[in-house]
Amino acid sequence: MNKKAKDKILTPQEFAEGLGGEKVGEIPNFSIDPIGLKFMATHIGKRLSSQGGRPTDPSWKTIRKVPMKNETWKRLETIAEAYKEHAVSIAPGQLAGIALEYGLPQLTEQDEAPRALLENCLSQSTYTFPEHEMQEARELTSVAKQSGIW
Amino acid sequence: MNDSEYSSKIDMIGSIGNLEPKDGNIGIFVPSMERDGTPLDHEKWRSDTIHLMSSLFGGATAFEGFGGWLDEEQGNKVKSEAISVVVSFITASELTEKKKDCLKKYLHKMGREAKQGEIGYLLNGIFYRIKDFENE
Repeated sequence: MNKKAKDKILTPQEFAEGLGGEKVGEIPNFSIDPIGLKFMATHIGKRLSSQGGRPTDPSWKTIRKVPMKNETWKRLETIAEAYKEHAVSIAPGQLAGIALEYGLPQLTEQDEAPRALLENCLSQSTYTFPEHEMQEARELTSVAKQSGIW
Repeated sequence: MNDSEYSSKIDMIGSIGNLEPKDGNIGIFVPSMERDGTPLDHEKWRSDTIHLMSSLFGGATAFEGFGGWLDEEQGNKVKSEAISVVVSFITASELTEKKKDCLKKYLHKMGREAKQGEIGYLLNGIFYRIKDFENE
């Protein structure tokens, strides 16, 4: 009895080139960019709810003092201010808490769900941002990266 | 869906069986016009692409868009049209020779029958274009 020939697994490059196409270019991975900031603003906005006082995330049960540079706090204030333009009212300290949640998996490689959610939504975004908005977001992204928030 | 619901869903999916996470993706750009601007039956091509990609990779989703491409062989003219990008999430083990051959046959057929200058596709973030279509 003839055994069915095993279907050989190809590398992505072998598969793609085997389709007959020529490589044109690579789409860089989104880190945090204008689309990411828009997503984050929407995502953050949904998390915060008010029961009479300042909007907050009801899952936040622990409050701790976190040491940081003056410059870091100023940058948090700048980013929080930027989110107001996306109709999201968030305090710099709350923003720091969210940044930790998204940043920690990069250190611990655990709990990939928030990261996967972000990457999944980013990859499916079809929104086109005005250029001035993209430029501003690039600048804020750069600040956030330099401060180690993102 | 919030993060804890998402995490729960992932745990549930994982507990159902030995499911390999799909961490790659492949996208096919489906045109709506021939190279000379003659309208195509876009819905049929999109539907056929979804059907094929679903058969090969377990599922496919079409995203609509509007794009342009530079036709270098026809006076460097930028040609724009409505398109759909049909995307499937894939695992590394799904990139087999047989699936490649099947998809290649379809893409070249689309290039010929839809009278395209190029057929574009994405694999894991890298964009390729087919300019010369092989006969069946």
